[in-house]
Amino acid sequence: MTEQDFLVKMKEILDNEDVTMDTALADIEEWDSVSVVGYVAMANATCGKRPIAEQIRGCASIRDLYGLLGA
Amino acid sequence: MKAYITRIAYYLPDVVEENTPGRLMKKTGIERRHLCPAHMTAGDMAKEAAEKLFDKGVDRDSVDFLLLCTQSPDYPLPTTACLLQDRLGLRKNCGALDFNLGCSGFIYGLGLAKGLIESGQAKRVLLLTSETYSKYIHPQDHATGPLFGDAAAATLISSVEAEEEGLYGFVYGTDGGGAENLIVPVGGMRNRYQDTPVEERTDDYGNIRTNRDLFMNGSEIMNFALEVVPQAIEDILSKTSLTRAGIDYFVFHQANRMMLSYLQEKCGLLNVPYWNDVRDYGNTVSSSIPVALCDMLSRHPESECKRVVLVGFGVGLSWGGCVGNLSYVTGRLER
Repeated sequence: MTEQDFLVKMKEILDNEDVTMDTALADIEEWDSVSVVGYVAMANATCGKRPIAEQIRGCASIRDLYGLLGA
Repeated sequence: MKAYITRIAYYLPDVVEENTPGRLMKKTGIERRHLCPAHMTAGDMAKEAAEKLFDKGVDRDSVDFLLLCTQSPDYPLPTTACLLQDRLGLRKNCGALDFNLGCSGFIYGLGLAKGLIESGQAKRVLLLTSETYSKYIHPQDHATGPLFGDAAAATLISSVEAEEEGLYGFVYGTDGGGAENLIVPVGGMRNRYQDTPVEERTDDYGNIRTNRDLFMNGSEIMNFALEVVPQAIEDILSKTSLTRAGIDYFVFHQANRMMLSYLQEKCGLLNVPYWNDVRDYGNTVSSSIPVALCDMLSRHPESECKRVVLVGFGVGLSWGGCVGNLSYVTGRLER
C-alpha cells in the first residue's frame, strides 16, 4: 500500500481530513479506541498484517502506524 | 429424513437505549439496543420467543427436544432449559439442555439439532438462543456498552422428508488461547464472588470496568474474526462444492457494521448478497443470526433463500459455519 493510499484510509478511519503523515497521534482527538480497532482491521484486511497493542502504543505519528505495516 | 429450519421468531425486550450520535454510532452502525429489564432473565426472554412460535400455530406438544444457548443462565443449577420445559408446557418425554456459547452458538445449535434429528433421536428440536450481556457490562464502560443488545430467538428445526440436505457443510473451530480477549473473569467457579476481591480499572480511554464485568479486547477480536471467518468460508465452499456465486445470501454473526464491512472485503463478498444490519439491535450474541434471518426472510421470498451461508464467531474463542436451505421456513413474516 502506498503512503497516499494509507493516508486516505486513515482519514476515513479518523473522520478527519486534516491529518498528514507527520501528524502526532497525541494531537488527534479522534485517535480513540474505535480508531485503533479500525486501524487494526484495515491493516489485517488490506495487508494481512497484525500489529499488536504494544506496537501501536509505541507509535507517535500516522507515519509510525504506516511503518508497522512493513510497507 | 433431513433436518430443516422450519420456523424462526425473535423477541426484543421493551426497554430501548439510544446510542449517542457520533463516531462510535457511525462506525458501528448501531443506533439503538434493546435491554433486558432487571426483573427479567435470559430464560424469560427465551420463553417469550418460544411463545411467539406457539402463538403462530407451532404445536408445543410436537417439540421433543429443547436446546438453550445462553451464557446468562437463571441459576448455576438446575439447567435453565429444564425450567423452560416446565414453563412452556412441553411434554415430559422431551430432552432439554443448556449449552454455553456466545456468538457462534446458533451454528452449534443447528449442528446439534441436525445430529439429533438425522440420527433418529428427535423429530422437532426447539433451539432457543437468549442473552443478556447488558447485565455483564459496567455502566461506565462506554466502549463496550453501546455495542451489545439483548434479545432471544426461537428456531424450530424439524425432520423433513426430503432428498436434499437442509443444513450441511458444517465447519467448527475453537481457540481457547484467545479466551482472555472476551471474558467475564469473576462469578464462575474459577474466581468465585465470595473469594475474589473486586478490582476496578479505568482504561486508556476513560472506560471503567471491574473484574466482575465483561471485558473485550476489540482489536484482538477484530483480528480473530478477520483470520478465521475467511478460512471458514473457503472450507464451507470446498466441503459443499459450492461457489460464492451459487450462494443466495451470506449471513454472518451481526457484531457491528465496521467488522462486517471488513469481513465482507476480506472474504471476497463485495458483489454478493450479504447481510449487514445492526442498526436497531446491536450485537445480540447468539441471537444475531436468527434475528438477521427473520429480517432477511421478511424481505426476500423463500425461493431466493435455498442456499444461505451462516457463520458465527466470537467468545471462546469459537466459530462455526454451515449452509442452510431456508425454503421450508413458513410463517416467515412473523417476528
